[in-house]
Amino acid sequence: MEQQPRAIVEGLSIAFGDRLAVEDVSLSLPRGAVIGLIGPNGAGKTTLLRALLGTVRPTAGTVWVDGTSGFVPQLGPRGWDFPLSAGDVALQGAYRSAGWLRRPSHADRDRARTALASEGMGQHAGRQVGQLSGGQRQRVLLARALVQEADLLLLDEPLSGADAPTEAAFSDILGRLRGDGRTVVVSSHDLAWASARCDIVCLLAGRVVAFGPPAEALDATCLAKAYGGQVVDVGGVLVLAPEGHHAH
Amino acid sequence: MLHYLTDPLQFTFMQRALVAVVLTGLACGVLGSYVVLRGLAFIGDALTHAVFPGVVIAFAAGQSVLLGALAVGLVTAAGIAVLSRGRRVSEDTAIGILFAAMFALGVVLVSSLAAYQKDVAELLFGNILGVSRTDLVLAAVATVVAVGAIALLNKELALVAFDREMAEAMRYPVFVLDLVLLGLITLAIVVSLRAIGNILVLAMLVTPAATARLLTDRLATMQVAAAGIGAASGIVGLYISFWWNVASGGAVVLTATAVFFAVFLTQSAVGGMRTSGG
Repeated sequence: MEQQPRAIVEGLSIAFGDRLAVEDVSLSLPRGAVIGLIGPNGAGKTTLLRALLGTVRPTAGTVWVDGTSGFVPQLGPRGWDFPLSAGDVALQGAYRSAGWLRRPSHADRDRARTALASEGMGQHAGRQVGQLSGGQRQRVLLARALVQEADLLLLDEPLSGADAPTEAAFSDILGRLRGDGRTVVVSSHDLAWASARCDIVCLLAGRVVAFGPPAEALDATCLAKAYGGQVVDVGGVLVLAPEGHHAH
Repeated sequence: MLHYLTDPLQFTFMQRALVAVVLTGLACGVLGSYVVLRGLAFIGDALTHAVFPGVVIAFAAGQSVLLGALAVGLVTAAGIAVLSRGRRVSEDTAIGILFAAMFALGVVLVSSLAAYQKDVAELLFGNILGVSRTDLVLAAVATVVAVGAIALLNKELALVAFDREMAEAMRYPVFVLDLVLLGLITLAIVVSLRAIGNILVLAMLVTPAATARLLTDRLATMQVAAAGIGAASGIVGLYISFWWNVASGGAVVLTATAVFFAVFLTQSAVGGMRTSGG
């Protein structure tokens, strides 16, 4: 039985001033899938995520999402020294459902606690967020996105600088979300991670270069097209060449 | 000993003054927490100066200076928010342009009203002895509105302050919330005008909140502590000003500053002992 997609993007172009960030992107995102959004810097990954989130208006084309969207911003908040605990931040994910002028309910607090616990962060719930390590902070932001209980979860480079426990918790959670029929879009630079963990990879370089299973979307031809020859084959594994290195 | 505390209370002006400084401490402590956490000290300073022409006009017209300040302050707050919304004028620049202009307008107005020039000092530094019943009622209403609004909007304002991008992603009207916050800060400034005066209000917005931040890692606790420290500094400062016959606004601010340094130095000493003692 063909399922209705979670989100459909059609002919999407977004311009900032006279610079085109994404151009003529058409995608259909299925339910219950982890989709890796891969591409070089400036490929429009963040812009596409924001278009899906609805905070950036399309210059042309349409974005349609069935359900609610949750978000983990790329760099996260600037104000880590803010007097909030990990539990407080996770609870922010419930603010919209709690509504204006109302305090989050006990059920909301339970959800926040459960989300933190599911990432091994239960014992840190009461700590001020500034005292947490980078990976722990990343998990708090992910917990907050989980508390949003969104149908479409948009994660902007959640694994940049993540430690091993964070990555493990993250993979765990992706599996559960997929099982619940949620759709997760994860932007990343990590080709190996995307090959191993994503159901679908969208290779982006302004336009969509490839969209499909990782084995197809991340083949040498597509990568060369997206990254302009910066990809090198090291013993059968494709990796991005470091800055200034040119593959032959 | 006790007569040092009770004697001043025989005077109506002291009773009113006490209420005025307590209201100042409460409103400035609660709103000041956001001033400190969001790094809005410059905006706070700007707003305190920007209300000056409103004070002068209302004074000359025989109206409540608090209402005049409120009107002009809200207009300036909106002006700053609107000007800095575009990309061509940064927020800092918008504030710099507007607050200097508003203060200059106040200066021009005062200089054209020769009869009032002797009152300029009172307008700038407040006059705790001249707090009228109307002033008190206005200050009380403004305090209730400001603190009440924070109580109701605290989770949204905290989210915007902590993680603006997420607030936008969650479809909160971030710009409107910014405007509301600036409006509430203006209210706190207006509450403080009679007791502390234009120039020194900033200290009441920043210092008690900064002290409270040193004491706690919880937002709500910080806000309550800042209000408490502000109100207590107000009371102590007012008694000092009464018995030593010095300017009340200055005495209150210096008391708050002394509390800040006491906490800061104590914590540094304790922290230093922890580090060296292991």
